[in-house]
Amino acid sequence: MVLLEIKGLKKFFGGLVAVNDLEMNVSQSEILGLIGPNGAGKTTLFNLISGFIPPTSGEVIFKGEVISGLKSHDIAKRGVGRTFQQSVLFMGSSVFDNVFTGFHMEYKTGLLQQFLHTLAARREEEAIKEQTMEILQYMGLALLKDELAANLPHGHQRILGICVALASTPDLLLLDEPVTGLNPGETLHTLDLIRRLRDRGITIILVEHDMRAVMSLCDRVVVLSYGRKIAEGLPKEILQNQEVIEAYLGAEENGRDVARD
Amino acid sequence: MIAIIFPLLILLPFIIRNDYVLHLLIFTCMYSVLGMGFSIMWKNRLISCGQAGFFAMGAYTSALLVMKAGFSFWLALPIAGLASALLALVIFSAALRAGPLIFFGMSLVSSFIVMEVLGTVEYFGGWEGLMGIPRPQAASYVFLSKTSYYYLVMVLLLLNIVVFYALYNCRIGRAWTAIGSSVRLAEAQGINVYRYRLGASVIACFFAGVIGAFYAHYQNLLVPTTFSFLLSIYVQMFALIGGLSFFIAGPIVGAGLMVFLPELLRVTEQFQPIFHSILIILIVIFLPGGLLSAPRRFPGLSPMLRSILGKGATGG
Repeated sequence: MVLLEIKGLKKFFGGLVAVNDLEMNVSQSEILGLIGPNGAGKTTLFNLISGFIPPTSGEVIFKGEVISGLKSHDIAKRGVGRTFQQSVLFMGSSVFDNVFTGFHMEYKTGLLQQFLHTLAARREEEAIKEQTMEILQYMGLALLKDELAANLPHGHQRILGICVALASTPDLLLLDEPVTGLNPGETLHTLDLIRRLRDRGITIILVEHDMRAVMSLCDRVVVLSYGRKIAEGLPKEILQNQEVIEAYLGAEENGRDVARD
Repeated sequence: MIAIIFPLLILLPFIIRNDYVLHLLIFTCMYSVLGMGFSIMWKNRLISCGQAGFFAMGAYTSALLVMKAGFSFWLALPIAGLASALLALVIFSAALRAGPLIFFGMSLVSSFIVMEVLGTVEYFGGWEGLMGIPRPQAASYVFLSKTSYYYLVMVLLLLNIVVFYALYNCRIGRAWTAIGSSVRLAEAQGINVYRYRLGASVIACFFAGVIGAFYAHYQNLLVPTTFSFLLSIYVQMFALIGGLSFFIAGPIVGAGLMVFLPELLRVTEQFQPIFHSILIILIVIFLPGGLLSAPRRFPGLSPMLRSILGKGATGG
């Protein structure tokens, strides 16, 4: 079943083409990797899907409904969760409060009941506190729940970012570089967590530069270059695709060589 | 804490027995309400530079309703709050679409406009002001003594505190904290940032209007220049001096300090702006988190204070 459809999506920033005529489908419960050189439009695509920026033209269809043009919070309500490239968290709040706050949309009682702290509202709040702890336990941050988000090491901040996104109970989760800057052990742990999220039925699109992670994790990979899709397929196929090697993998290899010198 | 403070607040007029000190306390309460309004917006990372305008809106609405339309003060008081809230709704629903910077500008401009309109239109009393505003009356009891006004303003302040406390400790307050912490992440969690920010501004201005109505009937006289831009700056200073991350206690402590310290040090009125400026510079340099952040910034301080004041006197 197709969960997300992208049709003829275009985004221009002035004269710069960030995303050009993109066609893409994402099926239910798959992990789709989005790769491409810097500036290929990967994060722009995330921002377009989650409504942080409006597309110039084209459509994003989620669960059969056109969501492009909606406000970001409305798209979040429809079940699209996301994380950010940098660790964007509620830095001044505790780990627990980060996730607890993230549950904003899950309340059934009205704002007035919340304000008056009625019995129903307090019960619901307790239930949501339990759900918060469930997420933290599941993701392995339960012991750090009282720590300030700002004081966490980078690896834990990345995972907390995913926890907060999970609090919005997404059907589609957009992960922007979830393992960048993590050490190999943390990377394995995070990849394992992402797989478990998929097993829970969450569809995942991730942008990542760590090729080994992408190739081991993803069911399918889409390669972007200058805002265009240049390849799509199984990780194995992508690794052997000549165009991809030239546009991206080759370029990165050269980049590494330059860096070594 | 509450068990100590509450009876103290009730008994205070009998302990003090000095009309001038009571007058200062009444002003502290009014300023606290204005400061808390600034804080609730600051929680959303909105800087209002126009609380004086909404204060004036409430004051004039209530005064005119009572004087020209014969309303009772008790009815005019909430209407004044609603009038202020409505003005905020109109101005900020437009301004917030354009973002926090425009919000800042619009709040500033709106308070100028309010003052100019009040001064220019004769119906509102002109630049000479509106005189002879009647005192509040409950049955046959007329509010005359400072003590009676003290209790009235204290009720309004406590009401404000209770409402804000309830707001801060539910989903609404958490959404505000989220917005203040990261607008992007708040949006990604499905929080309607625009609506929550507008809500905070309208609530703040409602209370500014209510306390404005109190002010009108306490002073019996309204002069437009009282509600100048400078008052809005003072409101910001109350919140800043107390501590911007203490959304309820901060403005109260700040207002208290700004009102009482110059009096205690016998700074004459003409030097007070200089004194206040120096105070704010010192605070920004030595306690950027405000006065209430002192225990956290100087951990040695609170045991010392505790030993001086006796146990239980500090904290909060």
